[in-house]
Amino acid sequence: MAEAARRRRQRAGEGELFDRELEHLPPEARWREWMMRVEAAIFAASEPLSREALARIVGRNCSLDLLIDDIREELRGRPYDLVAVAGGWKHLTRPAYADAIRAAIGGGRGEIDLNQADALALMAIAYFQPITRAELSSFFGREISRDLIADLRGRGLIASGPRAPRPGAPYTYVTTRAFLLQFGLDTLRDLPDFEALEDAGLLSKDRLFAGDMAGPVRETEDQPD
Amino acid sequence: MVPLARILPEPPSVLPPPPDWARPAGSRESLEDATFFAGAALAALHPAARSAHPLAKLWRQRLALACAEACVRLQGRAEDAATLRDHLYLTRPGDDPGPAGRVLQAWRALATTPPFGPPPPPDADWPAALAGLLSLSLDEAMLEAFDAAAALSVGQKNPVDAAAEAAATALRLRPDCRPLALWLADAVLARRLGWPAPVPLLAAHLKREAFRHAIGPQADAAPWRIACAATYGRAAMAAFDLHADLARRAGRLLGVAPRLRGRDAGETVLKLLTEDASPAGPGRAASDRSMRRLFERLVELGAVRELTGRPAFRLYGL
Repeated sequence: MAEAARRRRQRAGEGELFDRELEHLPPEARWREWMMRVEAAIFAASEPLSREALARIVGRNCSLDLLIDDIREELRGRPYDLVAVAGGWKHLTRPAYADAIRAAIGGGRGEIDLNQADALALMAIAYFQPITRAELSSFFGREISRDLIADLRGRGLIASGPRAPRPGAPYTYVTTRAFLLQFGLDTLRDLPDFEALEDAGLLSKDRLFAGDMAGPVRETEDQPD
Repeated sequence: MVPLARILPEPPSVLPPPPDWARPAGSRESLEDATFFAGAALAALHPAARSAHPLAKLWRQRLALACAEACVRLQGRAEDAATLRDHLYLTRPGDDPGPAGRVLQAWRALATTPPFGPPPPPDADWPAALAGLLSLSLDEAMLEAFDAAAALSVGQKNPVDAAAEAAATALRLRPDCRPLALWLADAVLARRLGWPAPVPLLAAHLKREAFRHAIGPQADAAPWRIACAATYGRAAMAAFDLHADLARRAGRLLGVAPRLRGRDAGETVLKLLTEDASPAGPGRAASDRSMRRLFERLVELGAVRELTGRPAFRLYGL
């Protein structure tokens, strides 16, 4: 057990002259310094920072989960938080300030402003991926245009998956890492359970496919970036 | 043209069948019974698992497909084995096969590279790679489950028990991910039995009810060990039968191989022996059409099956 863990950690820190262990410091100061390092690295990175990347800057026996918990505890009074998204950690503003941010900087660069049709199609792709455009169209009972798909692709939210074994070999579509990041999900398994949403009366498959927007989709749209 | 004989392997040797008493009728309720029959079945499977014949790769891929199908079911998705195979084989290189296709990739990866074991050294990136394939968040609990499984993969403990314990530990640490536990159990068993690559067994045959012995209010180690041992017994027998069936088909394919004409015939036969399915695309030297004709002739000769039943986008395999 210890052997595999050691090897993993060794590999994570190979070939560096960076002092990860900080053995000259008393335990509390060391913990403090690790917290600072981790938060600084996450703050500076543009992409969510993965566990392997963070393991390189803290000591071998440091528990990253506890460290992150401590950092989050400190951020409790701040309008931003450290959130696990798309397989890593990232600073995100709290949802309550989404309006304020929008009012201040508007729909500026990089902001993904989905209209209702886009959001609906994206949600269907997320739940039923891999799915073709023809299948989406038959689900909704109306044509999902190539433009809409191209738009989602252009924003990097979906990518092509396996080709469907049907005439014309159409591409199916799958969601990407950027999709997870945009909606604040760590993995696809964090999507709200479809059946639970139906049971709670928040969502109805029939209404959804008739093109009627339901509550939860609007909520996810309000996720901060 | 390279002579066929130089490319193609000998037909796989016929393995001694497991004794009749190793396939008991009725239920195996006690731990002793379940473990005894699991041991007998795994011993019968041993030569197949150790075999270096190219067919072993195809055999593991078929077992991986069955396990992936079961895991996809556990995740509440609707894909069946044929759909999973489509997802994998119809994905262009560089594209994403989708969440269900990635589960199949995880099992096929298990069946090629042992996660624990002496040479080659264990790949430290396994947890991260697996987290990506199974759509899991990589956390300390998952790393701990890997470490616990690595520790159980060496030692003197009964291998079936070690696998059951690895699965139970993983389920306790990450109750949200059953496929991970099943995956680790097969990896531990293979290492303990000295198999060169794991053989995916447990996931395809473990009954859904058995999970309540591992996690939840009724969790109890003894019934979980019985369930795992009984499952390994059943799964090993099924895997042996699959191997015997594939060996028979491989013998027939190699029998008709000298009668094949055309470019790439040798490579195609070799690929059919090692790969779960082959789409009829253009070969290295042969055209799309000539490959199609070759596959059709193989089907006519009864050496190869068309796996999908579709008129187009066909996949051929043993």
